Amino acid sequence: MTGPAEELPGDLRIEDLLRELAPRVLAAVTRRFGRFDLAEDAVQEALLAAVTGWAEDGVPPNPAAWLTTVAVRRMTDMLRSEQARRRREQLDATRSLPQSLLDGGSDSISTADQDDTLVILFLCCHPDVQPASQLTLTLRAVGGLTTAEIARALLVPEATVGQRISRAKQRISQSGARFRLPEPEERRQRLDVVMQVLYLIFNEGYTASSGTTLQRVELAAEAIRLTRMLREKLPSEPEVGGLLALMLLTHARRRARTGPTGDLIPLAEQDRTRWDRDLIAEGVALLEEVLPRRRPGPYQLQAAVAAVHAEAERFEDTDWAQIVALYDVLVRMSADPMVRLNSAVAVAMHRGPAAGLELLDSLAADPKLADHHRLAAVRAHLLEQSGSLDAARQAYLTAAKLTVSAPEQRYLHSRAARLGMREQPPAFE
Amino acid sequence: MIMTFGDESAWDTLGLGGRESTWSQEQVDAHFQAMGEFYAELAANGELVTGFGLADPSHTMTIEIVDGRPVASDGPYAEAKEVLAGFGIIEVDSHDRAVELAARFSALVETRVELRPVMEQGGQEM
Repeated sequence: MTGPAEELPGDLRIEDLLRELAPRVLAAVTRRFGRFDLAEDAVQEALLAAVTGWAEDGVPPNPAAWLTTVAVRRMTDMLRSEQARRRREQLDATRSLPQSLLDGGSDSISTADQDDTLVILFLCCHPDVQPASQLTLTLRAVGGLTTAEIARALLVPEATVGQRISRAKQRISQSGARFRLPEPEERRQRLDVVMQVLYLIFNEGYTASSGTTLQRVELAAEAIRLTRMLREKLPSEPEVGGLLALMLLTHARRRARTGPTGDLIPLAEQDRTRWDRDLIAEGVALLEEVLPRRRPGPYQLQAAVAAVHAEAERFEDTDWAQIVALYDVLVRMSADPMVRLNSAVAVAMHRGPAAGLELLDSLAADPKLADHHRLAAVRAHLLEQSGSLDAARQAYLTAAKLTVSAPEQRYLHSRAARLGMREQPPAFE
Repeated sequence: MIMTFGDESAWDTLGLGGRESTWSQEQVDAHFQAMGEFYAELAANGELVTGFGLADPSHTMTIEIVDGRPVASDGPYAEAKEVLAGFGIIEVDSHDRAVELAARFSALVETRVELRPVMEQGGQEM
């Protein structure tokens, strides 16, 4: 612990305030001075200065103005040294601007009334940027997290986070992206990417939650915070509501999802009294608001599946017929092989393991799934249910070999061990 | 038009450059207050058209058309000792009055200023 407990509430308030202000300050600086890449670094430094400075001297009367002043100063300093270096090394620093600038037209449209946080979010989720970098940059520029916090949350070295961020910014500036929301015709596609990134952050929060959670930002909670914000900005997009509902309904199970030693507990065996009823109520209410708009999408449907689970008091009470029906729609809508895999699980629950195994055989032809540990794990479960214990044990061991997640590996080995103690799990290499 | 010039240190003095102000906060506040009062007086007289200070010169961009294509670069890199730092555009009855105001402006910014007439009607008279 880093200090007396009574200081914590104050610290938390400053951090919450900073995270909220981060994208707005970044937008203000970028809007005025350009150079998103430098502005982002400068704002990050201003945030760090605020964390230490405000804890000692108190929060200034106008925190956003304080941050902007400090960030602009840092940016000026960066520009000065960059330019001094270029002068020394006599580098040619000219760059071409898009020819379309000379046409006028769209550039005369005012961007001032566009929501700043949204503009930054769309910029960070630029399609030219690799998903891992989109995610990292979003956490820093929109989420206001520090490089160190992101590194701890993602369980990667700080240097990796730094590289991803600078690479992302390089790609964005090379792409010639402008500081404004994408054109309406492009916006839907870009929104899909934004939602993917937010969902990736959320899922990262789950897979990374194996390590110690002490001193780490909860990525799942951060993804929910950012998605709530997106929902506030775009209330008429049902899929954004669907994504938020999916996160809430999944997050509601977090306390029941792992045992005391961090081992995974499958849905069938979870203690449902530990599910978070408030989150479930919020998720279900959201769904009831967006589903009647009759613009279903993958997130709304997956959230609907999660809601059906949430409504069952015991695993045995699950309305599998409804879940199978939802997956039927989902499979037609989504190319994601994971969706088809989950659909096979639902079919197995509804019509028996043989029907599920039959579907798995057809899925194994998909190269994206063939060597995926989830396919082997599902097969193992279904084989176990159908009584083919030896084949099930083999499938559990195959799945354990294919997964990279330690808790998952432990779980799969324990399932295999339950079916036969003859063979020791392979040693880790 | 009254133009004032400075090098990097002019912005640093007021904390508008790459570091905190080298002047004390009281000095900075006094400076801005004096400038504000000067502008307020001109505005009240109806002699002020507009006036602004400019951002640190490191934020300057050069944009030109090369072979019909727009090209941008940061700066002008040639390290200019003194660059435009701010300007005020006034509308007064006589050149004498303009010189008088330029002198007061110069005292306020503690550096030389340049005074140049603005052409009327887009220069048609010349």
